[in-house]
Amino acid sequence: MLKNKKNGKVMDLQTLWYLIITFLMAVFILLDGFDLGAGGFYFFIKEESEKKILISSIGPLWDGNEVWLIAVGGALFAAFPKAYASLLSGFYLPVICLVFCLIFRAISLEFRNKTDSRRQQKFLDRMFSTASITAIFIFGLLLGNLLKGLPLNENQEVYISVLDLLNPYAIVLGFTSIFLLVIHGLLFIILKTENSLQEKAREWIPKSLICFSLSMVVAITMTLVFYPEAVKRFNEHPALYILFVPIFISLIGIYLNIKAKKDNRAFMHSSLIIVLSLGIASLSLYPNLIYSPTLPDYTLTIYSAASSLKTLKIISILGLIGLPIAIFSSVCLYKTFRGKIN
Amino acid sequence: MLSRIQFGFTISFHYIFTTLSIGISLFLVIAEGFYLKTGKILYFHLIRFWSKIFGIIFVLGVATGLLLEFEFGTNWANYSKFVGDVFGSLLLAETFFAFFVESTFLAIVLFGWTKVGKKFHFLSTIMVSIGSHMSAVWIVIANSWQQTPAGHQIVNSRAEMADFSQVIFNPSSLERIWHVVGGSWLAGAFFILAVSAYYILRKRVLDFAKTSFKIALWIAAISSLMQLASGHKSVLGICENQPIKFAAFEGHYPKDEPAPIYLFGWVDEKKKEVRYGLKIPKLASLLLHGDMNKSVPGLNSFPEKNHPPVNAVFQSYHIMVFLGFGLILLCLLGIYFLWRKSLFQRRGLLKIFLVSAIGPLIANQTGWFSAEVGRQPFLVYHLLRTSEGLSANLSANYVLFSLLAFILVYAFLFVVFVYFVRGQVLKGPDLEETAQFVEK
Repeated sequence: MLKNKKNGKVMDLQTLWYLIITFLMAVFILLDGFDLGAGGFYFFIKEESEKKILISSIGPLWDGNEVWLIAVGGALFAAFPKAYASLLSGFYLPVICLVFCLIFRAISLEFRNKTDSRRQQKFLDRMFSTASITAIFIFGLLLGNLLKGLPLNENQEVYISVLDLLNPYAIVLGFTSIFLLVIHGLLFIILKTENSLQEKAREWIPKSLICFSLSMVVAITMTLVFYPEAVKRFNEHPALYILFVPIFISLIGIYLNIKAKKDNRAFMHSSLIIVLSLGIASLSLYPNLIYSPTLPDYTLTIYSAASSLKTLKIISILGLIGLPIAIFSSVCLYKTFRGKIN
Repeated sequence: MLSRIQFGFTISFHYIFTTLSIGISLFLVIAEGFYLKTGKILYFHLIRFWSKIFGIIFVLGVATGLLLEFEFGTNWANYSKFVGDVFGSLLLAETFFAFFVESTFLAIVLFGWTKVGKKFHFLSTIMVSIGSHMSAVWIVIANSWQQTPAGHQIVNSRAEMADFSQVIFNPSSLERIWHVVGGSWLAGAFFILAVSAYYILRKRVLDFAKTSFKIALWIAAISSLMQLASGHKSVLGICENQPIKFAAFEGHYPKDEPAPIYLFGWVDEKKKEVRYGLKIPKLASLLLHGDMNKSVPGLNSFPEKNHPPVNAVFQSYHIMVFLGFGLILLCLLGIYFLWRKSLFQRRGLLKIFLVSAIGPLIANQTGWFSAEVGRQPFLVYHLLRTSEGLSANLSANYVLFSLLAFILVYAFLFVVFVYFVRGQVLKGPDLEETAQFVEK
């Protein structure tokens, strides 16, 4: 979508890297999104055999998925180091918390099926679910704060307290993200499993869809009402509002396809919702990286935060070689582990 | 200060698992190579067992490594702004060429035993090993750029890229890559040696353990000698590019005299001398320049504000060297008795191997300590001081909180690590298993 929009226009390197980072983020959410979402669903599974199956379905995949997040961080550091620095130091406690969540997710996933002690399993189960859901929440929280804008000082540093980061808008986006990725995780489980676990996941779809829809509507409304900077681009080109339509069509699509047991199609619909949602957010933010409502002149744009042109050229070549490697490795991974878990 | 402690702590802990991963990955490639060549089921059991251990170590490497990607931005925001052009690109390269490759193919190695053919599985093992080595390569290039910056220009008070190949092939990267990789091979090999020695001493799975021991011993012996060569090259480089650091290594203060080598000692930083030391005069000059009367600039030649903590650097450097030579000796003893076919009866020697697993781990840590603390007070040598690189907008409370949290969490991770590795070792390899690769 975004790429099509820019067709025929000569793109500057900063915009290119903004798009690349958006792309990397999208792949990350598409992939790690389903195992984090599945982690949330895991909390409600009581059958031991079902638990083992769920863990086995994401066991080989989560690590390869998580690397896309590292790619986002690396790309941000290399292309927009000022934004990387200000964002991470400004979001200090949530980022540290996110890191812990991902550490705990990794450990609980890896060791849960390696122990025979019921007590340890219960402990790791709780760790797995809590870490997964909290991680998603923090991502949503950070996105909300980005769209809303962060206070920058003259050195373009972010000074913000945790309480301010936990504002209503960011919290709404946190919950919206949870609902969306739980749907995505459920659809993945439906694809990979059979029998009782699959049935359970199917049963969860309708209520998850409703939760997400309501949450999404609230989020969109709040953005329209309270955060004019975020909707500026859409108001300049009202045709862009059409991007919201496929989201709601796909929500219905998921419902219908799950009923008709066309599970592949349903998963594609949720993928589309993720890509569109991220695309809309990315469009809203562009060309800012950190918008400063208090001192708008100090807003970190992709131009003011970028590395030198020489670096951007070099990392573009790096990306040209590296992205195919990344995609090739991921394809090998998913080809090896295709099909139902037995 | 807290940020320094946090970074040092988190990266040192991470470094335990990454070196073991690189070293064991080499072992796995060799073992699986033998399996494909000879078809002997013994080698299959080797890779089945050791890859399980590898999996545990690797996930701990991932878990502890994730933070580091972000820690540059969180705690060292000004550093990130200064070096992002150069340093960020190198980290991005590491993500593409190392992380993607090792994480995806490891899944195939660990979980794909019945899903792929044996050739593809072997290929995956090779990819994992290449990936982990690539990790070492790129991060050492990045760190070497901090030590001996090149290929950049200072524009608008930040370092911008001028010549990427000069950045990559900066004056110290090649020898340091060799030294780090060698240290990793040593760490992995000695870990396997320790576990194998345990089995032999307990008279368990003798065929399995002896084969593991032999392969690991050869890796260890060759690596330990390699370390001597790469270490020597590194010191030569440091003498030329970072003379203050070298002077600190040997506690050499005098402005214009040949440098000695101390076997041990204690640096009195106030009096600017080494006390209680045993020194071999002029030996450093001889080894470095081939001329024992060539003078080597001492710490007094440099302004005191540019001195690192001399005693700390001196001690860690000497510990590393001492351990290095000890490991060489141990390996040579091992090879000698292997040749005389009496190695596995020598319980005393085996017991030494059992405890020596910690040797390379400590040597690796003290080596890095020497390199990094020896680089102080600079973050980027002569370009940016450590104090200038911190994040200005972090309150000390935040960092104290995160530091304590990391200490607690990492302690938990260490317990988990020991518990599950121990469990795996006690359980031992399954010698009844047969290969179930997909037939072509």
